[in-house]
Amino acid sequence: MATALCPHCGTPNREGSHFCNRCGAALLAAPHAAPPQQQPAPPAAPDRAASQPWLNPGFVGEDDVPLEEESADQALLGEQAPLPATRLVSGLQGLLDPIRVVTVPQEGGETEPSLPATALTAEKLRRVRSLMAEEPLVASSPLPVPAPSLWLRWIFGILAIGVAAPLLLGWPLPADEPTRWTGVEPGFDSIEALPSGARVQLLWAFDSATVGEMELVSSPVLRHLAARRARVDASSLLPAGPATAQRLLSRIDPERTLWASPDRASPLPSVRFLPGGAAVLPLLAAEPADLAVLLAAQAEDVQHWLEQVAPRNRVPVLAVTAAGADLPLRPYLESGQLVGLVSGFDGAYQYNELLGQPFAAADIPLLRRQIVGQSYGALTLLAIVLLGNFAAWLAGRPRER
Amino acid sequence: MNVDVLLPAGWAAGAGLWVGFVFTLLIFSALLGDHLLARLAQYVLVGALLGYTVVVTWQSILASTWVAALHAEPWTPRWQWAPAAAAAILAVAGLGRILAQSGLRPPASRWLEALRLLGALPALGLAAVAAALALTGSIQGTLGPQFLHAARNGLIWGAPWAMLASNLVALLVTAAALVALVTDPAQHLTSQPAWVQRLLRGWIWLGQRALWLAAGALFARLFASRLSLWVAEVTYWTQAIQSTELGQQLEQGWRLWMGR
Amino acid sequence: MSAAARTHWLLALLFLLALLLIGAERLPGTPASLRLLGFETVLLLAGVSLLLGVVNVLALHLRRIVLGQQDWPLSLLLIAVLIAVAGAGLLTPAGAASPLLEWVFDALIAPGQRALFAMLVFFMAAAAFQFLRIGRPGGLWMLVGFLLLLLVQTPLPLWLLPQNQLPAAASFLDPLTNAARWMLDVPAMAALRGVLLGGSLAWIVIGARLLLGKP
Repeated sequence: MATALCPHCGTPNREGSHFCNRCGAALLAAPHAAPPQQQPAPPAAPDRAASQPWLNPGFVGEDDVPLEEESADQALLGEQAPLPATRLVSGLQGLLDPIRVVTVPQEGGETEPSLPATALTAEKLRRVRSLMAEEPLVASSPLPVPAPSLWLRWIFGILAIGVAAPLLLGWPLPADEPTRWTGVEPGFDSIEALPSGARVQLLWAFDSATVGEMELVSSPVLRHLAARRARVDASSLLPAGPATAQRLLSRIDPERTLWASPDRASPLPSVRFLPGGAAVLPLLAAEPADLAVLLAAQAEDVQHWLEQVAPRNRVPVLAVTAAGADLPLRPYLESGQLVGLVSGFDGAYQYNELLGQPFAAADIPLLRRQIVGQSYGALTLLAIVLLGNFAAWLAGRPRER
Repeated sequence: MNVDVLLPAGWAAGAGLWVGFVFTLLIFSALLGDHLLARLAQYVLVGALLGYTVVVTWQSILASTWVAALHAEPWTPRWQWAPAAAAAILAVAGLGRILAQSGLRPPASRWLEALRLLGALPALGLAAVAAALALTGSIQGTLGPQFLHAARNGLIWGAPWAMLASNLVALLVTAAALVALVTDPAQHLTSQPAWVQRLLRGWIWLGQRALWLAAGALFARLFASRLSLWVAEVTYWTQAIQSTELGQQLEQGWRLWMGR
Repeated sequence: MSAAARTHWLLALLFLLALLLIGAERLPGTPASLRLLGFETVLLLAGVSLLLGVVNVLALHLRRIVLGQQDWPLSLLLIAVLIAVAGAGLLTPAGAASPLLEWVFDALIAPGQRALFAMLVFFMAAAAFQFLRIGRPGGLWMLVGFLLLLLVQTPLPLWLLPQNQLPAAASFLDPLTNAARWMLDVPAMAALRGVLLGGSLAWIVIGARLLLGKP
């Protein structure tokens, strides 16, 4: 095959190449070299090509193999995706050392497939070079992000107004009370049955991201624990958990009197941070306790406790969770692994009622607004779902069932 | 060094409220589409959160638990050096790996290569412990108790007929959902006799519908959860801004405008 | 043996060792101090891994700046904020409890996290618009599950009807609500239990693959 020497770095390139494969210099003005049998390439070049396959013009790296067989634009251009080599280019036209971001084990050995170099044109070369200069892709090739459609913004607007307007304009409360879920009452009873000064393990598995909902449901439970003079040992698996706990406990007990007891030095329970997720939870099983109370925004945190701690220390567990974590945890309530389950705004309402004392002054407007917001929000969502079905019917092309 | 002098106590709380409000608006502005200001807020949030995580991790784990303990009594509990040494190896090897991935590879040497290999041990050990805990935990905390509960409850023969029927439905659907999750009809059923295929296809059909039904219910409950956050957000900012001077003036104007 | 195969086998060996240790840890004669040391080592390594993760993010953004990639000024801002917050916390003895860090938490971190999560409700509404449709695969069943839970969770019909029609509506709705509760308590719960069992079985398969050196 005829080659063209690069005037800049001396690397042999295929005849007709517009740019040098190594340094990118323009080759059109360069004199064509003789075929390799007449003028052999410089001795270093074959070694480099063998040891540094990323310098090969057809190289894309195994990690750059698209998940889809052929992208749409390639198909349109009538191109075939180059075969993957065994290593990955890290960027800058292969000038940096190759790295493996993710490894996809290849079946059938480690030999490098030969590349159909003759099929490459100058345009393809330029594309390959630009690909090589890009960041290595860890997952699939980036898909074009669809611009927000008209509907999307309309939906956002409808929901924002449907919830915020009743709140800001003080629309009336619904006639009915929130529903009562099984699990709240046994949960209440489990704290009520605690002797004064009982040891309670507290897992603080939420931070400021979900405090808006978790504050509602945690407050009556924490207040109940304080009333029972429980000795709380609290931990959090989230870095922002202790700070969130400190703020919420201060809001619940601004006078610092609720948790006061002769044997407690600190006016509020302190929460420590434990990194490592479920892997460090067994540490907590070593501590003696009469009850474990899990304040969790995600069902997984409760599940991890039931898998890692509860079988070790056999301490009864009460889960206090966000509404979204409720259904996945119900099987654990049914099987008796949870002694109680208090979740969401409706669980908070029911627990507050069970406490038998007037709702805390701070909780009344919060709960009232939650009930108003939930009711109008549900109504708005129903309208949106109806709209979606209507739009699909109007479009006249229902998809296959 | 005390960096807290950078924060004048007089106006910090008030400024913090308005900074937080503007920051919230910037984050919410992503709903209007991708734009520079929304991205700016997201980058600042990630930066602040990561910086905060560094401080909390250092303070609560590394400094307080280990560095302080070893500093106070360096030689008494000798076995405590083993985890600290493993952590140090992991840190150095991890840093080397990150540098290499960034293209800033340190000069090759046999020592560095040995350290890199040694660093793989604590990392792989951590992964192995996490996987082993997940496996044993899922068996003793979920698989065992849930399987026993489903089996026991489904087979209480002396129960009233309504309860018995419900329990049997629950058992049937539990098994159907499990079969629907783990079976690929194209792969697993083609070599089976026709009657087995028909039976299993029916069962999978049932399991799939039960899973969809549960997914719909789960969606509604999750929506309620996220809606709570939006309601709490509107409530929080309404109350917070109402408590400021500007907020009170705005409220007066609003009342005048609404005729209340 | 290739490096990847060596890694896989080492992981398999460590996994087996971890399984044995976890089994031994449950035995009555195991010293408590040994158990504590094991899990505290995990805690320490997890802390170091978390910090390495932060350093990795720093390196990634530094690289974006060096290469002048898109949004590199934002990467610069991220690094500046990260270093400022971490530096401020590490330089004061109070650490995360220092007034400056508390201010950062209250003015940036908490509002930002709250807003990000509160925003999810809008995307969920968009998902409901798109997916809770009768014509889609499983759409009808999901819609039924969604409406059943809504009926139990938010008794909208009782709220929307005029007061004088409430008793008649209640007598009609009560059996409906009871049926909805049964659907949620029995078939939907059974399906969720099936998911839990399926997840646990998946862990067993993953464990077996690890032991065979095929993660």
